[in-house]
Amino acid sequence: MNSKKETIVCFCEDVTEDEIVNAIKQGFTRPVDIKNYLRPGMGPCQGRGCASQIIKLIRQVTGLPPESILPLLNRPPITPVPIGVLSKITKQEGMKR
Amino acid sequence: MKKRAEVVIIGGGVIGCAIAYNLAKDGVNVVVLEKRHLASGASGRCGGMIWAKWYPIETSEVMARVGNMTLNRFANLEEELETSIEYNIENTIACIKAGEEKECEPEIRELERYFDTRLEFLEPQEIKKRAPYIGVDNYESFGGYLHAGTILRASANPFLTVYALANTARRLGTTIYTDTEVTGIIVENEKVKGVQTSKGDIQTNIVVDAAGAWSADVARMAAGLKIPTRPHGEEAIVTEPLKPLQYFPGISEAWGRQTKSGQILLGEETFPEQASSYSIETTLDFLPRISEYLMQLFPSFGNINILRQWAGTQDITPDELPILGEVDEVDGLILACGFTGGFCLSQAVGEIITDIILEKDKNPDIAEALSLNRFEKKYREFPGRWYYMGVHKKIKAF
Repeated sequence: MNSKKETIVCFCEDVTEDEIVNAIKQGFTRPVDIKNYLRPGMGPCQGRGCASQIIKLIRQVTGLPPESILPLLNRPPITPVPIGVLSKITKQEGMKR
Repeated sequence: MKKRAEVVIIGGGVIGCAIAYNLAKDGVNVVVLEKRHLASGASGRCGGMIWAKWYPIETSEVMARVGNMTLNRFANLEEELETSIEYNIENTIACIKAGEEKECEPEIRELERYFDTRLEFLEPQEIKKRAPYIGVDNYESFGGYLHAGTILRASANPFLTVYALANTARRLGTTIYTDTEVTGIIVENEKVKGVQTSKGDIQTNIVVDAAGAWSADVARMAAGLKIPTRPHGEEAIVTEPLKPLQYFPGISEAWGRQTKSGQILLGEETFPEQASSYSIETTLDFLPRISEYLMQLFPSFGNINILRQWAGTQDITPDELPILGEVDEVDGLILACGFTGGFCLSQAVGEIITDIILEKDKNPDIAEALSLNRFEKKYREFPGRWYYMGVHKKIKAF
């Protein structure tokens, strides 16, 4: 059973399955709550690797039907973009800069 | 769902949870109602900065006391709640542009006086020496004031703070209902009698409006009470983690800090013409604009990635001061709203509102200066920010 403790769900922020299961048992039963509390999904991949795993764990621990679990929102930019590139975007019509 | 409570708090953000915690500590039976999840509004979208805010108008003495109260309480909060909220004292250099120094000088002196401290002035050359990554040359800089090692500039993780306050309040007997929307406030003979929610009614004689951006809507449920708060947007970005920067530069255009994980957080209030909106959607304009600020602040950081952007909405009053305490029109309705920078003030507000509810009367001058009565009735319909009308000077970034 020890192997389960060390199973990493979020590689970016080093969050383990055990930590997430504990959080769900404490009452953090939405993906967004778990993200805010333990930070899975806040690293460079923005939850691409762990979001579905988190939903699966919530379903396993709470027994909630999967369609009732709201997935994590995607936040722009979809992939990490360097500051230098973004700062060179020129003013376009309708933009307030 | 509970049928009765001594106090019902509407809003499960940092303000609502701080009030619940302080009341529960005094043995009051509290219910907190939250429309979505804890810290789902401005609390979970803020920068987590704990700064001395002060206001160059007649209320500054009062606000300095509120500021001192909140800074000291935050400094001891981890010990009090017996859990980590990632409280950290920051080292920052408040950069001042050439030409602005005359305007800033009296404000700096006032800040030093109110908070009994002394800020060191750094010449541009000295800033370059101490923090070579700061783009001093991009600013025609006059220099900067060093905030180091004092509780005047600190930060905490807002999520952990809200969860810690909520969990401690729960341990002390508070009930928190999430996913529970308030649909009405029952008022009979100008007295609060209860709250109607999407999950049933609760009887109570005291209701606290801590609904943040939605505070005016909640107040209107209490016999149509009008309060001059309106939603006010902010946007922010976060970068990938960097090594710790020894000093973080402060500029007046944006707020920012480096988090414990090493990421740079930078945010800005949206323009006033976009401000009156509940929208928490991010805008495309913001990314290039904030990247430009970042490039000016840190000219060598062009290759650092921005991971994500988000937006939030808080509520603002015409004079940018919160509205706290009882109202004449409805007995039992307590306001705790109108914060711009509510995370900062939350710990003082928890204490002040608890004192008002329990009639301890410890801070009568604060309660009076921040009451709804400071607005004449004709101004309760939000006339726009007073400083645009030349009454209120724009608050600086310190």
